[in-house]
Amino acid sequence: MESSNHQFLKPFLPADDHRFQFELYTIPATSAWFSWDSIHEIERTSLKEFFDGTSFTRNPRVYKEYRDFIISKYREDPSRRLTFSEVRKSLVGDVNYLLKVFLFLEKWGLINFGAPATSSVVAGAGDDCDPVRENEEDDGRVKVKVEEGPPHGVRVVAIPNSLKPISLPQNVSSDSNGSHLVESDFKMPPLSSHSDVYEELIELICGNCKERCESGHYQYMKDVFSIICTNCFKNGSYGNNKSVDDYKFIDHTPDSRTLVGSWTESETLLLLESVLKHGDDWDLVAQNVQTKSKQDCISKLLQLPFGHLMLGSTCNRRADNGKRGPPVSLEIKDAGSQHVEVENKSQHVEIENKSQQNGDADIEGPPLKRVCIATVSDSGNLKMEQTDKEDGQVAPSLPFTEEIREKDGEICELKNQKHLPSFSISLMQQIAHISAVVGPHVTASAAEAAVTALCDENEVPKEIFDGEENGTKLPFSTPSFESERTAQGNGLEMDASSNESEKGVIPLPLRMRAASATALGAAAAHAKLLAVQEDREIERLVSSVINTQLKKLQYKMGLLNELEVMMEKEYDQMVELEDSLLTERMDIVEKVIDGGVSRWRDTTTVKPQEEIIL
Amino acid sequence: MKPNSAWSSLRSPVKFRIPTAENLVPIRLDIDIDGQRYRDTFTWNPSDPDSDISLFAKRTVKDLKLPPPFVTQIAQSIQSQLNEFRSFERQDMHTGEKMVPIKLDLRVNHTLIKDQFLWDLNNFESDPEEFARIFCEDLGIEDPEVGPAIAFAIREQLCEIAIQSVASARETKINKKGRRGAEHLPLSKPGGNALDTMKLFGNKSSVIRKRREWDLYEPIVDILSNEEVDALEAREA
Repeated sequence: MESSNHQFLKPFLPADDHRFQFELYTIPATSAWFSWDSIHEIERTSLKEFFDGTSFTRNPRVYKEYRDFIISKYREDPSRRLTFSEVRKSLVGDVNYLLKVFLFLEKWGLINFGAPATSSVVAGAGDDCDPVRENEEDDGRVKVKVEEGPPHGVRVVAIPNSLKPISLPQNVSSDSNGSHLVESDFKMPPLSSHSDVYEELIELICGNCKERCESGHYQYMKDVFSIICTNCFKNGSYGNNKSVDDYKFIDHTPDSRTLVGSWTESETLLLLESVLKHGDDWDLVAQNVQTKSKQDCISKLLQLPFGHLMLGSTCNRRADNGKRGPPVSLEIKDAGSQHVEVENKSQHVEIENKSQQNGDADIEGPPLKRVCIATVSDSGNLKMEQTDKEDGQVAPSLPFTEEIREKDGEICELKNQKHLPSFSISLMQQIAHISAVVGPHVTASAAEAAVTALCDENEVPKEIFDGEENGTKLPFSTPSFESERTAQGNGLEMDASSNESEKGVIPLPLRMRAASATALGAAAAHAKLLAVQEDREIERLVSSVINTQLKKLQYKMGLLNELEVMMEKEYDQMVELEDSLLTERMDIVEKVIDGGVSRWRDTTTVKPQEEIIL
Repeated sequence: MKPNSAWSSLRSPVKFRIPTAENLVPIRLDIDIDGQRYRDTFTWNPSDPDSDISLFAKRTVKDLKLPPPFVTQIAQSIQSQLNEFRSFERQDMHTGEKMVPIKLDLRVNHTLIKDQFLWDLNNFESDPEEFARIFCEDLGIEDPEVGPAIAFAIREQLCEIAIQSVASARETKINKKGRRGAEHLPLSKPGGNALDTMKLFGNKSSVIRKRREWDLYEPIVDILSNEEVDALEAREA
């Protein structure tokens, strides 16, 4: 209720009617304790700084004056919101305490109770202690400010340090209007995983004649995406630089199509295993994977994200047994070309990795893991970079490479091929790969060497590595050297190595934490040592000071003692002298008296003597 | 009775710190390299590790695209100001019953602010940031850089005063050897303000200012145009 309103409602009244000269102000019922003449207990407890006598400038009288002034000021115009800045200019005192009083009064609705909320959004967020105000927010007084151009304090200039402002480019406004998708001119090729999923739905268009391939299509072996229809194949128009051998046939007949499409996980597993085992011998591979034909196997392998890689590796394995050069370069190239796709498919790879833990695609382990780990390291984990630097310490693993080669050439080949292109894999993971193909003892020693090398590099807690070692030692005991030949053994090894690689990857944050914890601990211990040292130093110095003082005192005492002795001697001498003088005098006076010499007028000193004698 | 209690609080020394709720050091940077000038003010928490300084300097240079020589200069400046602050930290300061006038006279981008008010040095829960926030809110200042600038100005002044009170604490300690002087010194030390306290908060006067003084203590906020800003900047540089 405002006094102004009241004026309209009031009927004309005689001036001496005192009842209607009071003005009504509304305050919440909870504030009924308020009274002008006194200070209530609530005020005393909420604003105890004024009542505990801690300060000369804060006492009940001062508080009352503040309070009364603020409330009166507000009531001059209850319709407007009284701000703190208006009142603090009129009051003497620390602005922080004034603010406290102000907020207290506002909270209890003694001021600003009917007043509108401020227009700025910030105010609403700031006043969390006002139960009353929250109800008023519903009025919708919150205004949203639309900012034209850069904010008030910012001047946009063409280049730094020049004062020429530039005008906003036009498309800025359109961007701010919201989701305008920027259309890039560059279209990425569809991912192979995309084609895996949508295979059945994709309409196969011949690359040559641009017609739908009905019955079947031929897929170019080296590039999965270029296909030609059967007609074109028959006609011999294969496209540029492609020969008939390069195409493989993919049948489109409904039955075969569904068969091709439906590769179960176990089939995929078998396929991969047999590819690793038999390499290019597709007949054997097809035999293993009983339900699928040769071509199906090949096509499926190619469709898998890393099929090319496997194909390459198996080709090389069969091609040359002794050379390391060309296959390696091919591998590198393949790895390199795969990298781009790999980065895009990291998700897919991780899924693959996980499936490998289930034991489904175990044999796919090493190459997949290798590339997967390449992506992890590429994604720029700091620790990974550090460990990457330790690739210079590939050396420890290389001697083992040679060792193993003596045992079994082919396995060695495989391992070499797997190792050398993998520049970006960390030391521990290389060990993991070694573990996949060699016996437990060799791996254990390799791991040990790697651990010592790593620990030399950084003082990372060895227990983490020890834990890894212990963890990996267990599975190694079970598979024997021969059993690794079998898929079973491989599976176990893969599990172990995958575990280890997992362990290699997981404790990195742990390692980092442990490293920082040890660093901090070392620093703290060092500091403590320093402090203890300083304390001892201080004690030593103080004690030396005390010692010197003591010595000084003792010396002085000695001197004083000497002096005392000397004094005593002197005193004795003096006494002796006095005695002797006295006796002499007595003698002389005796002689004088005996000699009958008349009493001569001597100094007065003689007289008393005479008197004494006499 | 009352004067004695005031003086007893005067005599109890407190460890040096900024008398606000958070003990933050105001840092002012003004570095000029090859004609490029970098000026900045902010608060630093002295309990942060010193290794953060170089990180901060690097990040600042990177964000503002300054040339690399700024990194060492910024880090050095911050470090020296922090060291200065820390050298005072171990000593005592007398805060006592000091109401100090804080004056604001600053320009932040397009906003010019002139103000003065009292601040109790003994209030260790004071919050310059809160004050600055209410200030901007009440006066409808939209520029978000103004609030922190006000808080910084307050902190800077409090820091200076705190440093002065350390010096005065040292003096009173020396003077305490001549025991007679100790009683009288604290009164005269804070300059004119303690006397004001006596006058203003004594029983005879009111804490409400006279109306004609209201304008003196009223905050004045001016919004400048671009040309005026340019003129002022040219004068400052």
